[in-house]
Amino acid sequence: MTRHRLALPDRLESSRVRKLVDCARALVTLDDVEVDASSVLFAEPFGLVMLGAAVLRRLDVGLPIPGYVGPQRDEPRKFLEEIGFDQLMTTGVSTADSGTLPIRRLSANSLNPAYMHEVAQLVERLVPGTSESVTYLVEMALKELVQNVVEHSGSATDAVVLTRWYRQHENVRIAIADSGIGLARSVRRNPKYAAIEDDRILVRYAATVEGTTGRVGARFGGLGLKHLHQLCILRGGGLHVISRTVDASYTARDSREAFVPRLDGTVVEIDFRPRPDQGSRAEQTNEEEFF
Amino acid sequence: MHRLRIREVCPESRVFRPDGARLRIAIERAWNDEAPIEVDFEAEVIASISFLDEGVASLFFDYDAEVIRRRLQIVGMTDDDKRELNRLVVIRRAQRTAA
Repeated sequence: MTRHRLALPDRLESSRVRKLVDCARALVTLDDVEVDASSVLFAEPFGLVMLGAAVLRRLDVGLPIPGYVGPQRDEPRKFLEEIGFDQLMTTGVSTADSGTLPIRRLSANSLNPAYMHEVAQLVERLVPGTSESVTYLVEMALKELVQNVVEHSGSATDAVVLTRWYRQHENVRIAIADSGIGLARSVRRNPKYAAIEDDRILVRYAATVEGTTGRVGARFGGLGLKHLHQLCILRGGGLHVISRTVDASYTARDSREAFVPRLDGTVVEIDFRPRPDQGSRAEQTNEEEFF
Repeated sequence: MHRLRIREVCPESRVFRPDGARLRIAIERAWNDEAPIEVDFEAEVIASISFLDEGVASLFFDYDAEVIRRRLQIVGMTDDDKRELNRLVVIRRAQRTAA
């Protein structure tokens, strides 16, 4: 049997979406494969969880554990080791020290509130200058992202989640990947949107319009992803989604949806600055305070 | 006054939508115009859009805000949770108006 070499792009981030999707697809289809991360210089949660979820799908369909070659450069190699990415790629689990904000495999059928609280506490403890409000936002965002997987995705395998803090822009990135039905199909459960054929429109609705996503037996759609989208925009960040065939990103300056080769599942990354700029709408509220 | 303590109503978890549904059902079972209900969040940080929405904000989709004002009081809620809840209330009230 021929061993296929799967060369990862130099940057595991949203700017390399096409290449990352190609790698994730190959991981789920090639019998004997070696993941070659030797060229990797930089890795962000978005790319890491996408590849992590692809390995879980690979194992779920009965393919063998892939081979893995780590980055040549010290810095990315140490980083991937520290967060447990290499372990996830070669065993399907990550047991990296939870004190380092590692990549994690989370059950898609049950939820662990303690994990979300722990990550938020870690961000507060590890990152200088963070406050209780930062902890609150991280915990809230994680809960919504994880709940979306459990409630909407119907994921056949566990989800992969990673939270990181970036010193340069003082921003938080949280990414989660599953192998579920995708946002478009979830929105089509809502009879109001069932006839819309263009998945790009449905992904946009799921991310930006309140009450669209359909829950079986629910009276109205959820608000979580829209709420997170708004939170990210108000705090100088954005939302990036790959869901089945749609690649979508939303920032204050730009919104776009494009088609990509089909990925089994959904990857969502949110990016925000916990401390809003002075005068930001984030801390102002013109909304009526009922309670 | 009838009092509901959040940890008694939702003893296992106060995070997810089914947890919130438990709270909403408890509120609807107990409330009437004569004796308001006090829901005590016991200073616990909820930090969950789904719980706050399903447990409290969704009432604003089904009931007029004045009915809720007469019947429901929230105490012991953290400022962060209160801010999120108020945002959700605005959305559900708008949906009720539009429906």
